[in-house]
Amino acid sequence: MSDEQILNATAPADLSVYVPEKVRKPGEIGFALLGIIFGLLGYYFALDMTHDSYSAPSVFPKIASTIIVLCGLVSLVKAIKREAPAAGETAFGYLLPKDVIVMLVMLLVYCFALPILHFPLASYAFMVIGMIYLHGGKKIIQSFIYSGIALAALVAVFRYVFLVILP
Amino acid sequence: MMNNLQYFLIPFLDWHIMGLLWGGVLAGIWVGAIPGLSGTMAVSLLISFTFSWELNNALAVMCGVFVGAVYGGAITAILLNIPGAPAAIATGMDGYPLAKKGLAGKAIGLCTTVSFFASMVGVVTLAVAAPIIANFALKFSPRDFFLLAAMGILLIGSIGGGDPVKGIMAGVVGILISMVGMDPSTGELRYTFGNLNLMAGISFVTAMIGLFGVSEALTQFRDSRAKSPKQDLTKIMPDWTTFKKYLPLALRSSAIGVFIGALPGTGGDVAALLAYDQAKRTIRHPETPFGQGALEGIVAPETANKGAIGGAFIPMLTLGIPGDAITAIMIGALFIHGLRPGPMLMIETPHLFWMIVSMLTISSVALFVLGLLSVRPFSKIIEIPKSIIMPVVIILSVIGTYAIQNSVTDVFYMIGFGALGYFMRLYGYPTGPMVLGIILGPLLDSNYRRAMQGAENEIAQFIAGFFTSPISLFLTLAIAFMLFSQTKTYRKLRGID
Amino acid sequence: MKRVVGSALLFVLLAAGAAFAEYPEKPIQGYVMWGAGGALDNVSRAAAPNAADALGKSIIMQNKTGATGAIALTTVANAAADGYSILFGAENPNLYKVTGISEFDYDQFDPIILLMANVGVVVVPKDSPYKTYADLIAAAKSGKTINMGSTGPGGLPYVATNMIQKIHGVKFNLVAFDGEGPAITALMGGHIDAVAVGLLAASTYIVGDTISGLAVISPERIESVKNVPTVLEAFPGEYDSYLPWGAFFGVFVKKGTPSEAQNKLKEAFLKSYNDPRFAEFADKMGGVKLGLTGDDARKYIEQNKSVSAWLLYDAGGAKVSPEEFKIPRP
Repeated sequence: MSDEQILNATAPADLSVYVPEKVRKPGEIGFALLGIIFGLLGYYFALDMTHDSYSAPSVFPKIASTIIVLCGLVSLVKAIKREAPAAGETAFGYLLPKDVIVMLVMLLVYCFALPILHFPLASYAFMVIGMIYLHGGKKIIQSFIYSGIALAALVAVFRYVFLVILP
Repeated sequence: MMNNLQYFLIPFLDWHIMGLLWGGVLAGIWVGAIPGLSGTMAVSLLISFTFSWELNNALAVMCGVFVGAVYGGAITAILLNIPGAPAAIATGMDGYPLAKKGLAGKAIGLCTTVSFFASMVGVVTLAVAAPIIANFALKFSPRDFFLLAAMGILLIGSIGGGDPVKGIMAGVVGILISMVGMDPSTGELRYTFGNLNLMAGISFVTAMIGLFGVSEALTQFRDSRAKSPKQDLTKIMPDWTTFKKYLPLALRSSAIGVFIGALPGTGGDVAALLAYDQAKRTIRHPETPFGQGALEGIVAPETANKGAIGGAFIPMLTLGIPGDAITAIMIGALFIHGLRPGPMLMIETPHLFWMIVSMLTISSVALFVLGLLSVRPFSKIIEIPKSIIMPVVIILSVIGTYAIQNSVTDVFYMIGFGALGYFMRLYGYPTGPMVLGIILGPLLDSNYRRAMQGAENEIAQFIAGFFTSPISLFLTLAIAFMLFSQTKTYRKLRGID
Repeated sequence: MKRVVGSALLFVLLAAGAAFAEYPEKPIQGYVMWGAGGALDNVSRAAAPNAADALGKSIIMQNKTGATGAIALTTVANAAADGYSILFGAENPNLYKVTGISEFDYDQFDPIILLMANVGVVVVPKDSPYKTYADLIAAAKSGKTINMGSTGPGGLPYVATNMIQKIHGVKFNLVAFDGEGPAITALMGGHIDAVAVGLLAASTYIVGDTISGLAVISPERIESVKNVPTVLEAFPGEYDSYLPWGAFFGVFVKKGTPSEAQNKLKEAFLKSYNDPRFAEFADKMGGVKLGLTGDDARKYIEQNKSVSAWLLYDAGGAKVSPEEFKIPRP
């Protein structure tokens, strides 16, 4: 196969022309609403900034917040017009399948453990547990070894070459 | 003239300098490839490290690292969709889809070849036209920088790849995020809520690592049992026909890069984004659509950011004004080594100019050779099973973010951006425009205000400025054309569709 | 039980050992409050390597920028007062209290050494119609619009411009830039008419004759730009209560740092300061060497604080009156 064929064979449909999805994703309306609230809050807090002239620091925040609110409204209307998602599909289930929840929770735990356990130990634990989990509880020894190699490389580069004092 | 040639040849004949240049490039590639480590950081570390060295040696290793680091950013962008450096953001948009198809080797190979070409375009321009370009660059007023930033913002529409409204929304949220912190020109606190950490603002590298790196990792966990793509590494180096095909684009984008690089205050990141946009507008029928693995989408940004290297040296060596962050530090290094970088540099120390031209030439060659040699080992990274590579990517993102400012707060921001980016992807809001907004927001805001202040805060005078200065007029017309070219009328006129 | 006592004993011994060990026994963290490539960064990185040699341990330099340096200052203020976290700082913290940026400033620190001063200089493009400082002031007095570059409240350009406006009762049209470098670049391109900046940022261009220096805001002429007159030569007497005034770059430690460590640091930085290479560097940059330590350094800082805080307050750029913090009027 020539290069061209390889490219064409695997190229999906042309996405450069936008074709809207027919079915709304669970939670899409809520996400658009959050965007609108973000824009409104942005505008509200911009009211406190200096606004004495066309070159005041508040000009851009106000313009930006307004555009966010407008785009949010358009997205909201578009989302509402779409067909509702299949019954039983919740936003939570769509956004957070099991693996993602586990990794996010691990990441949070890691963040809070970082100042206590310090970087090397906390990171090693994160990588080992992460790998074992993603392997479905298998390849335990392998996980310990790979994590060790990765950690050694990272610590060597950041701590000893770039003199970063790790947390 | 003979003297200049002599100066030019010195680094070629001094194996010590030669070694430092090659070593610098190799180190630079790694620095660039690791998110959070940047050329800026490496070069400022080198100032202390080379304090007692001879100046030529110090400059050699700095030049090498500079060139290597700009290139290295593309590697992680292509392989992992985490741009190692801001100048590689656009590269990942088409590079990563190529890697997913098993064509990472081809992508990096092409990237390396055109990088070498563009880097040489920059060096040659530096050698022959530096004073002319430097003086022209000075003519850019705050209003023109505002227009340039606005041009970059128009990109939001072209890198979204989905619902344009969502792309715009993501981009503008990025602009609003970039407003957080102490406004550098008035000291006003915006969206800081009395918090000192927020006063420092949110670094766009933090946002970039989160929005690209962690959100990519989280997205992959949705389907974590999927196999990593097998990479085809039979043909790395592009053949002559391929190279010739992309030559016009490479030349155009390099020219954009040299010029944007030469403008004080804009560097490779802005150059790469503008070049990507330019490619997308001028090339109507790429073999693969942009955003899904178009090779043009690698050629344009990667030539622009390499061209910007030579470009950044133009104002530095002729006027003593830094063209970007790294040349700013190199100016400091020259001071520390007892020189006076400034308009007198070329008169007091003409050899320095030609030595730097020569060092950049050697670095470009080293980049080409070392780049091609490292394609295979780098491409193997993406074949590592996800279950192993993704936890490592997350830890790398954490330590990279921390290293920017030694700040744990930044790590929290980064993870926040990671989660946000993940949700945005699931609802069809592209993350690219948001990073773009964070990068261009300050450029847009502060130059708009400066231009307005220069027009004494009068709207009429402000608007008149767009038509009275030739540069502003040209940029205004260019933007008008960019907007018009999106309309149906234009597409009909050109007979497209 | 024995074990507990044993380990407690060991701990005490170790702690005592640590207290008696010679400072420094590990690398020192140096926090630079402005970004890489800026004037403070250059001065700090020029001084640090020789000081590190004298100390026998490395000084790890890192730029911690943001909020005009308050982030770096707060970091060091929150670290232990053991001499292992040192601050490379400029004059900005003198205004943190009146601008409400932070409750910390140099009152919580001891100066190790003030390395260099940065005096203000008023510059115009080379082809400017204003050939002397008096020309510029006269034009401003006649009501002509003069676009004057500036930076955020508290920066040297901002304070210097306000000093000029106040003394001569004139008003410029201020165009705010992100820093001195970008303001000078805009000046070279003719996008603004004049700007008052630190000499460190401007001297190389004045020497290279790409911009003209009209006056240095200093009682005496400066060696590196000998042909630029002082403001006093144009307007004798009118600047007296404000001068000498200038920005400064120094090394600081948190108050309460053991005097042994402070003295070691002082010795090391004085050695670096007296190195001929530093003198050459200062001359090329256009800085004025200070070399002040102890009470002299403190006095210099207080003088700068008094002038800057009150000028800022009078110009309306301060949130709180300097009186609240018992800062005397100059």
